[in-house]
Amino acid sequence: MSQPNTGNAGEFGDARYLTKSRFVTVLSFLMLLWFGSFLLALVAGNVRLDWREAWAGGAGNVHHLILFETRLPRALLASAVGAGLGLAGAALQGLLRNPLAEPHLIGVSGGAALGAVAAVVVSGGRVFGSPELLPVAAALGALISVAVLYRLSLVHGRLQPHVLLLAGVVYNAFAGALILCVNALVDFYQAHGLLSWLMGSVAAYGYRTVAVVNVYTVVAAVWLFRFARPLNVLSLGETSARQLGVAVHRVRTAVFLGASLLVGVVVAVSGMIGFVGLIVPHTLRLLFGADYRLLLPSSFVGGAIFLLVADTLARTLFAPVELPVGVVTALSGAPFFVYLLRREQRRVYG
Amino acid sequence: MRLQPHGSRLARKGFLLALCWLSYPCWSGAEAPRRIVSLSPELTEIVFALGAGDRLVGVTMQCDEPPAARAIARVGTFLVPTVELVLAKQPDLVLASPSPGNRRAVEALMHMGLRVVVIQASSVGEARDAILEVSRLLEQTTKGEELARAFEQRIAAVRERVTPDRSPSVFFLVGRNPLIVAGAGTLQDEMIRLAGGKNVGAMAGHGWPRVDLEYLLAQDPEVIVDASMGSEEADNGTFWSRFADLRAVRSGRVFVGADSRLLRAGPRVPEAVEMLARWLHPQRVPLVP
Repeated sequence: MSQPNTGNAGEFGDARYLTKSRFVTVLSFLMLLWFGSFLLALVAGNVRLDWREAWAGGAGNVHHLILFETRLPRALLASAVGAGLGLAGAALQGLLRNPLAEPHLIGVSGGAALGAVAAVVVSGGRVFGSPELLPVAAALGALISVAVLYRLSLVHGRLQPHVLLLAGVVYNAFAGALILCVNALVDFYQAHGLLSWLMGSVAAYGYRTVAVVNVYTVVAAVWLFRFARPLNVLSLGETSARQLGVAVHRVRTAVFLGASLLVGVVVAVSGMIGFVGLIVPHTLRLLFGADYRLLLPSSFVGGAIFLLVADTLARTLFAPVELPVGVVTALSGAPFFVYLLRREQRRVYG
Repeated sequence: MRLQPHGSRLARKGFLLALCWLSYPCWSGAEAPRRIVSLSPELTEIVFALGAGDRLVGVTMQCDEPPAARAIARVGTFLVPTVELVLAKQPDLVLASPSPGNRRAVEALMHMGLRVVVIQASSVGEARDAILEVSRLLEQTTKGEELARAFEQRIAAVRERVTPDRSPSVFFLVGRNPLIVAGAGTLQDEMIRLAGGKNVGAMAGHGWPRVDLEYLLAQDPEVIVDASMGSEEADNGTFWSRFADLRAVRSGRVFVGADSRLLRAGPRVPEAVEMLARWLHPQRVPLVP
C-alpha cells in the first residue's frame, strides 16, 4: 500500500455481507425517508399553505405560486444538489482510498470560486447584475482546475491517488488565498456579494436550472454506479485489484471525470455547500457497511435527504432571516457524525 | 396558470370585484397601490415621508425608520428577501433597490406577475429622484414634489452657509477592524462635500476601501466621523483615546455613532448634511431643531 492505513474501520473491519434483500431493504428505507423529507420541504415554510387552494391554481393564486414556483423547484434543486454531492463524495473516497476525500477536495470548488472571483474582478462587480454569468464562469474555472489537477496527478500516464489528494489540498489552499486576496482588494459591497455566493444556496425559482441539474445528476449517477464493483476490489489495494483483473487506471480516470463533472455543475448552480459529500457517505458506511454497490446509491439518496432537511431548517429556523444552508449542514452534520464515529469505534475496539 | 378556478368561485370573485368597483367612487384613486412591500430601508423611509406608511404591508428586517416601520411585518432581510413571505402579503406593488443578494428573488417576483419597481438610491441626487418616482407610483405627486423641493432647499441652505469657510479634512469610517472608509463616489463622500468638508477617504480609492492605520495617522484629518456598526456600544470613546496624537481626537472632533441618517440615501439626507455641517463648521451652522 502506498499510503498509511488511515484507520477507516468501515473500509476493512466491517465485512457485513451484502445480500439482495439487504440492498433492497436499505434502499427502500432511504427512499421512504427521502420522500418524507421532500414532503417536509414542501410543507414547512414561513407561510401556512392552504393545500386545496394551492392545488387549484388560477391567476393571482398566492398559495399556488408559493408551492409551485418557490417551494417545489427549491426542493427539487436541494434534492439534486445533495444527491450529487453525496454520490461524488462516496465515489471519491473509494477512488482515493482516503476517508478525508470529499467533493471539494479535488480542486473543483477552489477552481469554481476562482472562476467566479475572476469574473467579479474583470467585470468590476457588474457580474452580480447578470445571474447567468457567475455560474458559467464558475463552471469554467472548475473545468480548468480539474484538468490541471488531473494532469498533475498523472505519473507515468497513470492517476496516482495520493498525488491527487495532496495536489487537491494544496490547490484549494492556493485558491483560498487568492480569493481572500481579491476579497481584501475589492470594496466590501462587492466582497459581500462574493461571500454570499461562496456560502452557497439552493434557492430556485422556476424550473429551467432545476431540470438541467436533475438530468445531469441522474446521468452522472448511472455512470458512477457502474463502477461499484471495481471500487470494491480497489479497496483491497491497487496490486490486489490488478491481480483480480481490474483495469485500475481506467476505473480511476472514469470515476474521477464523472465525479468532477458532477461536482462542477452542482457548485456552479448552488455555490459551495460543504460537508454533504464528506459526512453522508461516512455516515452510511458506518450504518450499512462499506460495499460500494450499496454505498454509491445510498449516498445518492442520503445526500438528497440531508440537504433537503438542512435547507428546510435554514429557511425556517430563524425566519424571516434565512441561514446559509452550508451553516446548517456543518452545524448539524458534525456532531451527529462524531457520535456515530465514537459508537463505531467502541464497537470495533471493545 | 395551470388550472382554471372553479366556475362558481370565478363568478363570486367577479361579483366581489364589481361590488368593490361600484362602491369606490373615484376609480383613478383606486388604482394607486394599496398593499406595498418595500425591500429596502431607504424606500420604506420614502413611503413614510410621503405619508403612505399605512399602505406598507411588508418591509425588511433593516427597515427601522421611522419607528412605525418596526411594527410592519418582515419579509426577510435587505440582502435576502424571502419570496414566499412577499407573495403571502399579496402586494400590488413591490419596491426594491438593487443589491448583490436580492437580484434572483426580485426577478422571480417579477416573473410571477407581481408589479415590481426597482429604484436605485445610492447618491444625493438619486435619493431626490427616488422620492419623485415613488410619489408617482403612489399617485402622491404633489406631496412628492413638495418633499423634493424641501430636500433641495435644505441642502442649498447648508451649502450657502458653509461656502465661505475653508473645508476641513474628514475621515468617514464604517469599519474599525479593518478600517473601512467612505471612498470616492459614495453617498457619504457627496454629503461631506455638500456639508463643506474635504473627504480624505476619497484619496484612498473608489467605493469602500480598506485602509491601514498608518494612512489615517499620516492624513491626520481634522474631523473623524466613526459610523462603524455598534461603535457606540462597543466602547465609550476608549477606542479613539488611544490615538491622542490625532488632531481630531485632540480637539474633540470625533463623532461616533452609526446613525442611519448618515448611511441611507433616503428622505433624511438633508438632515444628515445639516448634521455633518454642524460638526464641520460649528460656528457657521448653529444647532437647528
